[in-house]
Amino acid sequence: MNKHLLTYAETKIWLDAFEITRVPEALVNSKQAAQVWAEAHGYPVVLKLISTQVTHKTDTQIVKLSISNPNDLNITWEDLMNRLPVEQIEGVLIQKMITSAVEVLVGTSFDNQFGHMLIFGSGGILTELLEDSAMILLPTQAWQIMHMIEETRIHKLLQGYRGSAPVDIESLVQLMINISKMVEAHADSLLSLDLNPVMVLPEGSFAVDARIFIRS
Amino acid sequence: MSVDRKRLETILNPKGIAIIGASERGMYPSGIIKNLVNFGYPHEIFPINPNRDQVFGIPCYPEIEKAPSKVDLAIIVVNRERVITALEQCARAGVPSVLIITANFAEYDQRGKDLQEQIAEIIRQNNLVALGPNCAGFANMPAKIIATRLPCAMQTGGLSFLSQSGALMMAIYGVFADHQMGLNKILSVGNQVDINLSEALQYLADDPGTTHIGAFIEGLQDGKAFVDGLERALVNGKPIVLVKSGRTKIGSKIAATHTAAIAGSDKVFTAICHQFGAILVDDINEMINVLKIQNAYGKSLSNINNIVIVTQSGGMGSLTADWFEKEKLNLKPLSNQFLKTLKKDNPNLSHLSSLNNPIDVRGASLRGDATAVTLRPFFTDPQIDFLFLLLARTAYQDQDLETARAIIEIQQKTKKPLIVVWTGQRDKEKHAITIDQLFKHASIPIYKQSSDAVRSLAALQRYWSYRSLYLLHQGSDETTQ
Repeated sequence: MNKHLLTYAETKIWLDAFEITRVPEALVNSKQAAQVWAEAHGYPVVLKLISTQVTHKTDTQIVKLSISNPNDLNITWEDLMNRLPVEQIEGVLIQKMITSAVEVLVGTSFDNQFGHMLIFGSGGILTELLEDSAMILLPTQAWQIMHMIEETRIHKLLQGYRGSAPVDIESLVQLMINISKMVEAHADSLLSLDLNPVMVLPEGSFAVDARIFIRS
Repeated sequence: MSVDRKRLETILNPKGIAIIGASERGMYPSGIIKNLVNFGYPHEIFPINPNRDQVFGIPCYPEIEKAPSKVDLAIIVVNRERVITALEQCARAGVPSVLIITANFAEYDQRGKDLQEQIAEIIRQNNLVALGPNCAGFANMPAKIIATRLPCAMQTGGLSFLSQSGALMMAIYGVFADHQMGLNKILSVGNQVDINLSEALQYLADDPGTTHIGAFIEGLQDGKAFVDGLERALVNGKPIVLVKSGRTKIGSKIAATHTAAIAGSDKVFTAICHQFGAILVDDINEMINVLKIQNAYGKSLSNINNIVIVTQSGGMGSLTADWFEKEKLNLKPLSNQFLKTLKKDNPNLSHLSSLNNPIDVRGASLRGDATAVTLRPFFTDPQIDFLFLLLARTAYQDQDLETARAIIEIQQKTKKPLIVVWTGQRDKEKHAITIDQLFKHASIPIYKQSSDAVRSLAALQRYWSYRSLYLLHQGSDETTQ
């Protein structure tokens, strides 16, 4: 089966079309544009080198976190530009850095037997280590999504734990409902969607990283 | 998803059965006819064999077209090279459905695969309904149709069983019989050239005689139909308990060879079962452990709020309580009023002071003739929905028998749902089998250890409460529209 990873621009189109909220970000090709964006949206920011060749960005160190001022931004930019040959660089993604959020994973995967599955669980770089996830068959309803969330251990964190505030589970459920609609509309072409992490804040849920594979 | 129930209906309720390849020798050729006759099949049986003019006294015909009246189902037991001819004859004679017992098709070798493909083609072209090949057959107990070789008789009940493996179906049948659980329909699907397990599941989910379902699955052919079957059974309140093989890489290699079906990935399958209320267990023992509780108490399991554990031993009590907590089953303390009633006129229980549940009544209270007196308040209290009795075998077998009889008598009289956990050595004791069989005969689930009992009850509790949740949201507008 042949699969094709969507580019950053194509992914943005898909996610925007179904109102799957993302962290504020922009694709830039110059240091100056990055500066202007950071001024407008505020520090700290994150820079990510965008290339269709690489999937686990933290493994290859082309994600730079916690850039807190224009000087750091300059230095980091130069560093990133040296990481990959120029023809493999689609651009640089600049994002608002979110802290104090609960990191979850939301995704879909096509199973030959049953159809598209919606997956939810603990997110971020510890995803594979924690093995805390659940999945349901799409299309689905809000109550089933909620029931699925309640089966995971990360649910406790979403409800507020040891002093940390509860976060906006409703927006998380809405994000998954929107994904369900996307899958229904494109059931024949979509293979998988991977949003890891999705940051769930006291107000709103935002996908920080997105990969979409379609049939080619 | 719509289901054509007539397909399985014609196989499971045929008015007129022909057996192509009938004989007085050979396991299947003779065994099937004997069973059909002995269990009282109420319609015509036509043995078909050009080399015989009768089989066990029943007139035999050279070809199916010669059968004097309507044949709904042809059971084919001839060797694999002659199956195609038999099918063609069935098609010409207007027989609507076939059960192909013959083996050595796609599960065996390339020749078998080729033959099976030809069979599939004939079935398609002639609109036949087919079960098999490589199929052990089926039984429809209430209709007195035993089209398989079953080791013993069995009473009729609400439990229906599906299997891909024929040999396993017969073995599991034996276990059901030993537990005295009445059967409704039992069906093996073999190589699934036409009817597959998913379709059979959909049928049973809507079958009025079936109240609960057991299934042994190796690979899965139609995921969407499978999900539809699970959902129907969930909505209709028919718990399904499944064992699936081929869940590991090694297992799935063997499963694929055995039935040439493709297994889905295990995580997805487990999630699907969970989402649609199917109880997935790890082995056959576990399946029986769960089914026997559902078999005994049915829908009343959906309304259990107050379980009381009565124990002969403090240790067994606390072990069982541990399991209750692990399985998230609630235990409420006893009421003062109840404790008063319990101690009144019962010198054996004068030591009781705590309202703890489990309640330790100590050994003497559940032995011999003390048993009935001890148990009466528990069995007659309307606040108690369900009882767990924890007992330990003594050295006095006659006394244990007396205890067992007392328990059964009060349960049968009051109909209070009860599970018994009776720990202790059973071999070589003259009454060991008797005590087990007494409880089985009375449909009271009995276990050797608490973990089996508690996990089984918990699985059913989860099923019934999930079903309530599911039904609550079924007609709602919360769709992703």
